[in-house]
Amino acid sequence: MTTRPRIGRQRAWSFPTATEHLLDNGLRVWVFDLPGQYVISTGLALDLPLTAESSGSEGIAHVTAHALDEGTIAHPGSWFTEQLENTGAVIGGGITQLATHIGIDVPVTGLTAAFPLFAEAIRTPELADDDVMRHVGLRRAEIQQIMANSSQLAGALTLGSIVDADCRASRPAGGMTATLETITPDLARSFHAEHYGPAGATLVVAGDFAGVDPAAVAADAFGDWSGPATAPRHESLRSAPRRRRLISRPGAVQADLRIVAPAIDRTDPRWPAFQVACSIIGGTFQSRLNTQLRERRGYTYGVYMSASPLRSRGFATVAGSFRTDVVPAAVDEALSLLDVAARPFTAREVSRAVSYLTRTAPLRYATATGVAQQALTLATMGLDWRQVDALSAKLAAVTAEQATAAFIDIWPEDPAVLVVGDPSLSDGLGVDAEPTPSL
Amino acid sequence: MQPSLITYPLHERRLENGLRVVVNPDSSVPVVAVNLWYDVGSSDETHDRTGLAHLFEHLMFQGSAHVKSGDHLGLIQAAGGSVNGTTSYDRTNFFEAVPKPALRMAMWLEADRLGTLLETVDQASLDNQRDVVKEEKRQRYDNVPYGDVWHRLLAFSFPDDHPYAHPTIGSMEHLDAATLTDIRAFFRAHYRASRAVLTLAGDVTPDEGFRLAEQYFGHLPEQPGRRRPTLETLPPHVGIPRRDVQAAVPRDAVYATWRLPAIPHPDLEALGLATSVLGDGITSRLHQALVRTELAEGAGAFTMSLARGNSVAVASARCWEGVAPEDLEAALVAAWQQFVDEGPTDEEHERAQAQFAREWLSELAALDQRADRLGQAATLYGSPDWVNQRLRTVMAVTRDDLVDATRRWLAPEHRAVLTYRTSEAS
Repeated sequence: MTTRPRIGRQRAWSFPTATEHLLDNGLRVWVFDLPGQYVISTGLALDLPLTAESSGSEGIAHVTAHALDEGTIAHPGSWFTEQLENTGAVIGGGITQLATHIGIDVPVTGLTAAFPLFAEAIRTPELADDDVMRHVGLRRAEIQQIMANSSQLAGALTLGSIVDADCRASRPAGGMTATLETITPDLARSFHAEHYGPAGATLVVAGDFAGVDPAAVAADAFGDWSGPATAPRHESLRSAPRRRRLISRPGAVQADLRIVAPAIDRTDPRWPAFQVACSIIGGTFQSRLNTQLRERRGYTYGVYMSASPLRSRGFATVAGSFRTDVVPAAVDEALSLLDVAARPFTAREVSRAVSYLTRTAPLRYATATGVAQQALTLATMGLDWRQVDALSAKLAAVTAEQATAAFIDIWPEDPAVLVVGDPSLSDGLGVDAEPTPSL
Repeated sequence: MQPSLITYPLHERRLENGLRVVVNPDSSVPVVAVNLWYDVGSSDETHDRTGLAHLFEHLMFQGSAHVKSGDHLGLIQAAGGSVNGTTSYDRTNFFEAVPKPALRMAMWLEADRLGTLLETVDQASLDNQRDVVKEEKRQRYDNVPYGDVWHRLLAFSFPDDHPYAHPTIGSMEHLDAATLTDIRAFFRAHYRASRAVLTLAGDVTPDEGFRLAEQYFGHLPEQPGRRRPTLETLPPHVGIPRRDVQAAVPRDAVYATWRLPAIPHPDLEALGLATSVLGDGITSRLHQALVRTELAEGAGAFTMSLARGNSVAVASARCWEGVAPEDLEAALVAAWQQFVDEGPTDEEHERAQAQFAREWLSELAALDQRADRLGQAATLYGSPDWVNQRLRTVMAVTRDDLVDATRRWLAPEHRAVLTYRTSEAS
């Protein structure tokens, strides 16, 4: 019992294959047949970047998406949701900078009853005056909660720290208090009419269908959907000058730190090597950051680095919370750990990171939800599910030299440093404390 | 297939040293979930050492006789697995989900720390993880608006000397006071094969699972299990006890709590359906009465099942800007009272069951969550088969069962109320 068992060869695994259907109206439907997954996971991704919002009415995409399930033209009011939930379904959705997502999870026994209702919410929502204005109020309340929460505030300010103010991505996806003032029920209804449609949209259905034909169910519900054929304008992130900021929260017992810089998207040939690099620095428990700042120093409960690819370019972020008195030291140590030129990655580090990134795939994609979400994320980037296996193969070929070179190439020497914490940190960080900005 | 007829194949055996082993073969993906459910939690702590069970959980990752500090997590992640541990009131669980070829290593790692932790745990590890846990407390509770609500509700629901009256994370004072002697005593008292359930769910046959369990855990000593003192079920609150908190929160908020019976009382599933009708989702009574009317920014209700003496139910609502918490509470109580008086409609009753079915099946769809539920079932419900039976049990709850249980436990006059009020500083 003293010798650690060796790890054998892993059985070959690949991401499930979808059956692809292209409806006449342009809607793509991907069906994943997953035996044993008795809850069907379904999602629709609309190719609807937030650049579709006119300047000054940021938040209209958020409010419209959140009010979809409050009733439909055919079934006004809460009767609609009651019918949907009677099937066992739950409906949810939201927006990102790139897309609006709406989905339902439903036991297979409820699929044929739930699907037409799901389609109704997307195609012909009521968007009644009261419901729209209540969701404006709820988003306003959400902003108040974010501003009161150190970690959420840091998250909300992250992209704005590196993206040019002219880019939509520099502002919160759900809109700001000031821009919410301009939103009216008419605006929500016209936003829906102008931007919700099958062109460029992808519908994913995953699960154990037990004899139900999901493609036919989807075609019945969405086949005669028509909508605008506008080509959405995806923005490419433009960088802003980067600096160090301290957002003041007097008396906070901990500070939230974000170190962030522009990075690349999945279509960049350096993507696999960069993903490996970020994993070594902050993607696992024994990453360079976590080993030093948590396991050696005891400064934090955990510190991570993640790469966030968008459709065109992306960004990478170091995130963690630290007790106030160690924040300046934690920032200095984190910045020095990001200096990969000074300490290139080793072959062993790369091998472990590659193994983590590729071998966890069967587990991550073992459920209908896992498969559907990943397929939708890729659809949002203009890619498809075949990318999962293709990326695995590329990750396996990454060398230490490639990972080192990619990181040095992409990560700048002057990332933005954002701290949300006690104003006494001003001296240690060498920057004046700013009041909490209004979102 | 009717979801209520889904049955997972389950096999159970007990090793000579008392370790219970549950195997759920499922070869749909080449992964095995390993779960060790230890029958020890924060309710087993003494009142001058709160937080010890959770601090101990951290030390379980700091190495054992043949594993270096941090390597348990590092080796599993490098093998393509997920790994962690959590501590709650009644239990501590440790789990890995690994590609099949790493199954032996995961079991060996778990067995090594259960067999040899005392040989390696040292002051440096304790000091480091004490700091980490204090950061966890700040990050998850102290630096978050309403972050202390659950602690306050439990402290309010139980007498000071009750095992559930203190939070799992513990107090800074007690964390500072914890010594290596405390850690060693805790391990000796609670970490033994006879107080654990080992569950394997995934790409493993029963024969293989039992053989590996014997190979890696069979040599561990047989030590008697310890029976926890039983606790009487405390009666419902009377006189509507109240606490007010001034805090740096963006909105005033109202939390009401009820004492319920403990696992495995038959009323608990009916009460779960009742709180679902009252407070789960946008069709729920509280959402309709409080959020659609713009009295609350959010509202909900749920039950939390506990093993010793009592469980609890909680209803919560955060004030819409400008609404007084007294007015919000009055509206909440009116909606609650109407439900207690009239019960659910047939449609609400069936909807709550349909929603439960989806949630339960979604949970079981993930091997790691299924393994965790099997360990819970074996420990708290006597048999892992509870996982297969539970959906049938919930689908069989009648409207009368639901109404009776609600009236017994959830009457508004049996609530206790915690009110958050925005302090001027915020």
